[in-house]
Amino acid sequence: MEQEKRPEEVKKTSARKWTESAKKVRGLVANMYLRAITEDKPVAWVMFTLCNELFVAMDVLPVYPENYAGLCATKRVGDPFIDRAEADGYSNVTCSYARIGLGYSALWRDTGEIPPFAPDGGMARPIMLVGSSLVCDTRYKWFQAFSRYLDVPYYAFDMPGPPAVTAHRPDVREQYMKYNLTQLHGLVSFMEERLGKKMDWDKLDEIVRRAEKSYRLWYDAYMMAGRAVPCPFPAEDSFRCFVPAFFMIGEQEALDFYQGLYDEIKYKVDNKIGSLPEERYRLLWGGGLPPWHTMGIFNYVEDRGALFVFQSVYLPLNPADIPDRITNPLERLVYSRYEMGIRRAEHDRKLGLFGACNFVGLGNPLLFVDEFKVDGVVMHWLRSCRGATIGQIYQKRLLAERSNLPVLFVESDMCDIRDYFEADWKMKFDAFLETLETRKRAGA
Amino acid sequence: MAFFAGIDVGSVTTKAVIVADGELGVYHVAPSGANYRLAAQKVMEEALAKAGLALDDLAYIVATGYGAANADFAAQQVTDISCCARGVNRLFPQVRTVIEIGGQASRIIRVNAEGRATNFVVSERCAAGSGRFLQVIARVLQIDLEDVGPLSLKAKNPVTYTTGCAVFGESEAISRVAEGTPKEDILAGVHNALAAKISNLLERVGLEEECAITGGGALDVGLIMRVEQRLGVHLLVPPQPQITAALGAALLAEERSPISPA
Ligand code: SF4
Repeated sequence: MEQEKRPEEVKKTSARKWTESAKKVRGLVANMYLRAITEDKPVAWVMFTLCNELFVAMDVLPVYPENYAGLCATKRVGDPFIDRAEADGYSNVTCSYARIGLGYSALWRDTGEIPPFAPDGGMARPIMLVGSSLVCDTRYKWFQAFSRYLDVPYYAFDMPGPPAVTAHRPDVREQYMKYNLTQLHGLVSFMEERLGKKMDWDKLDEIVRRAEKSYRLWYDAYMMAGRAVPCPFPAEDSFRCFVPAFFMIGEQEALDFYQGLYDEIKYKVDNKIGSLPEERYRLLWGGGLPPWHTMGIFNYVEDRGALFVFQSVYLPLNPADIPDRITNPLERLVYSRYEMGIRRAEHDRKLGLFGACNFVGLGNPLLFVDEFKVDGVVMHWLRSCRGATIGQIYQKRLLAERSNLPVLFVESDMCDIRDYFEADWKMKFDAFLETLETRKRAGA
Repeated sequence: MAFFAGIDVGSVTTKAVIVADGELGVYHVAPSGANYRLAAQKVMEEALAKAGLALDDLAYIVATGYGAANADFAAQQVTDISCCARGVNRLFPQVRTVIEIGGQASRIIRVNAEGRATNFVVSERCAAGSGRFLQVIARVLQIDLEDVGPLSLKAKNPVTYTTGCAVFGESEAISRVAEGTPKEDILAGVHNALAAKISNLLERVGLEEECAITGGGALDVGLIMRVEQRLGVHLLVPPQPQITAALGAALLAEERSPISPA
């Protein structure tokens, strides 16, 4: 019945690319998987955990199952992996990133081979698995399960963010930094043991500093684009261009990419080159990961004169100025992560809020709506991701109280297309744009 | 005189309305079944027959609802949010909040004085937040949907559902039946559960009086009573609540038609 009512699919599932930088990302991603398969280097499966620099320094090729899950979803080949994971008893509300990776591992164990339909040649066999407590609870168990399927050792470390209220107290800061440093040292020891070689600290220092430059360019480029009217870099492009920062940071390629992105956006902003001929409505994607399976839906909205000028989900990390006295690269890493966390809490405090950020990667939409001249906010409820969904109602309430901006909720999942009902999305977007038009006319 | 029509192809029923000079002329309602295209055609034919008109006599047609694309004889599609706002505004110009309980979802729509939607929220894709929940429980209790409301008014001890899910709710209703709980208490429990969901939805867009209730759910007197109790407001109910969006579509057809009414 549901099937029958399903509308005509968006013909093209991926979204238009508006910038040259966004067009480059696909190639970078494909190369990341290809290198892991073809190069004679150790591979680690890693969670997004803000320490890619360590892998680059140790000459390990990191592969990120969450990125791979998104790739499977964009190519709409995630279903067999999800089915396999569910056949092993994983619930359909377990993170679909996890389900795709677990199904992949189970199929590999079943046949002893990379599943033939795995895109980009598949995820290469790892010699280690690395994850942390960052982001959400699913992650501990997810990588533990990988470890069992693949019989590969797993190292999990703790990575607490700064506490929202007491982060500024010197004693608290010192304790957190010390603790996080110990945790990273633990990871380095684990890697050294697995690889049978020592960390090259000078090399790591160079890589960490390169990453710092990349982070700054990433942040400046995104913020410049969000402020710009017209906007040259809509959310679907920024949902692509975070990839090097999350999964390749520390590499020269990532630095080059963000330099290119910054230059491209600056040129377009300086020359008032936007994406749409007329930005009738400026929208903010203000919560929830995007529907990787149907990114073309962004074009549906654009064809109706609305542009997502920013997404506050894969938010660039506000880079910290690290004092010169901190020369140890691990300490620099810890310092910058802590400062980034503090800045976020600081923003919330300025707005008179407490804990409005629900997720490490999520910003409070309130921070952007005025500065980016936003007319409406869209949030995505994800059936299998609590981390990015919890707090949305609260954020919506804050928006209503403090900005009177309308918020649209759409529902599905980041990867599991079975949770996506396109007619419903289109109807909601249409109705939302109609209400924005009414408000515009009324000068609300 | 020019005639205009609106057709609302919903997940459970299809409704057609024909208006002339902005006044409701005739309407027809029938189940949508599994073939929306056929349902749209048939319902429109029936409405035309009631009005003694042919399709060519209609100056402009607007389609709405989940299956709007199936009404290929319509000149335009408009969302059911906008249509519902417009329809309610014609019936009750003073209404600023509409609670629409459809077969697939419930919606809260904030409406301005011109009958335009200024904000809205739609229930999650979960049967427990829509009229579907009532259908499911009516089937378990083996009673007709139209008897649900009157019967529920006799409830003395409404059951409290321990779940927010229609599938679990169905199992729970079955166990209550097995325990010998009176049907009216089970039904009143469903009404309370729905009223709670509606109240939560309302929190998100705010309630501004006056308030109307529309959609198929508004045919259920028991549900209306429980929602009123829960919200502490009086609900205005259109005489044919399920055709509100189709009426709005017909009015929009009149407004958007290149042919102005004679
Ligand atoms: S935050 Fe969401 S998407 Fe990320 S791992 Fe947790 S459940 Fe999955």
